Amino acid sequence: MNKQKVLDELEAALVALSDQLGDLLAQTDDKAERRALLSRHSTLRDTYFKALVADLRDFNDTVLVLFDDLKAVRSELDEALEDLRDTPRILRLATEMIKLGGAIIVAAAV
Amino acid sequence: MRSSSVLVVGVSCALASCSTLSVEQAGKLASAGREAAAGTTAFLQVPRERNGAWIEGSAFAASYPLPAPGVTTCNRYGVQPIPQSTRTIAEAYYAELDKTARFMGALDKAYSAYAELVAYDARGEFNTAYDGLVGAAKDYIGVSFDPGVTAAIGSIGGLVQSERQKARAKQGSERIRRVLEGFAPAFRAHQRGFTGLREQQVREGYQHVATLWCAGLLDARPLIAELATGYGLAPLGPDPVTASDPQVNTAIAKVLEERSKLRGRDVDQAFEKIAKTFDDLIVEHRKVEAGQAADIGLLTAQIAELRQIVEAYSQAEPAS
Repeated sequence: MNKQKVLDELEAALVALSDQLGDLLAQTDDKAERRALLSRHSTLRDTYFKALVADLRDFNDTVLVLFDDLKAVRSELDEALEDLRDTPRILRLATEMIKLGGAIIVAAAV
Repeated sequence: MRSSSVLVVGVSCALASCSTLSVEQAGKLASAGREAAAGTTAFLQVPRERNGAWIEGSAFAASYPLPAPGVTTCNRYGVQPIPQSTRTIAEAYYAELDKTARFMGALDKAYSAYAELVAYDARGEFNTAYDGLVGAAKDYIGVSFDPGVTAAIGSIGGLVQSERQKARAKQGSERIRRVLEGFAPAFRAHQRGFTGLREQQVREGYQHVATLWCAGLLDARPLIAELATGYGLAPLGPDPVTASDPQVNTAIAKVLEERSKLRGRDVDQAFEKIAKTFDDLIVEHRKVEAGQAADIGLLTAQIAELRQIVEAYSQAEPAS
């Protein structure tokens, strides 16, 4: 376990969401949903950048559990982004990625 | 850290391969080391140098409407202006890169002083520069970093002048090399920290350029010429190729999309080549110290390539 693996997951999620953001916006008129998509994308990028800067070295049991959850959510997000029909699910998964990424940055930082 | 003790070397040169050590190669090693430090510093400055273009590119793209049902827009990726939160994190990231740049500055001074140490008896200058280098290494690697050599290079007696010169060259090389051996793994450990933000700048940069292209503000002839290179065909005519042709518009947008995916890998490769230059520098130090023929020519060629990579990297173009 190392920082690289955390970055890999966050970056993959960010790239996947960035690639599909335009198409997701193009299919919804719902203002709240559109705001949420833009906000999650921006915050996911901030989370990734914070992980890049953070000194992540304390991979304790809690961090390992959080990381397993992060991987699982990222995999689900990938799947949801292949099929763009369920925007609420995509938003929920992106929010989870941000929560888990933030928690790992705090818990693994030295 | 200031070295307080002074090492006086007498007959040790004979035991330490000094007689076969090439002072000329030691001098060339110093030049190569300075070049490596300068090239790496340039590499580290790229993300900050491109910060303005990244922010301004996003502002431009975001001035076009966001995608929405029934809306045709050139902002097809849904680009938003870079918010203050992101700019603040980016500044913290650049500050991290500055730490490595400070180490490179100290390394450059140490190699410069090493060249003088080899050329004439500039022990004072070298010892000062070496202390600065060790201090920078402790700041970069951690306070526990210990190069294993604490003594300053002192007067070297009991040998003819040429042998004293070789003994100085060997001692100076050992000191710099030991610091590099501590630095190299720490540098590699920071790889993603160095490349991650730049990769994102490059990916988003392609989205910004796609907006400029779609808006009819760019001429695709250079890109088309690149695609045709080596196939015996040349682009047609003197007129600009713009997005006004829907088929060309889509085709060029697809090329930009593919380049965006590929270029992140180039950033990683650029870092890998720089890291390898330091590994090779350590190897050549060892050869010089052992009195073996060092391959400074190869190292110099690698450093020249490094310079080209940095230039390409700053433009988000392939390192070819």
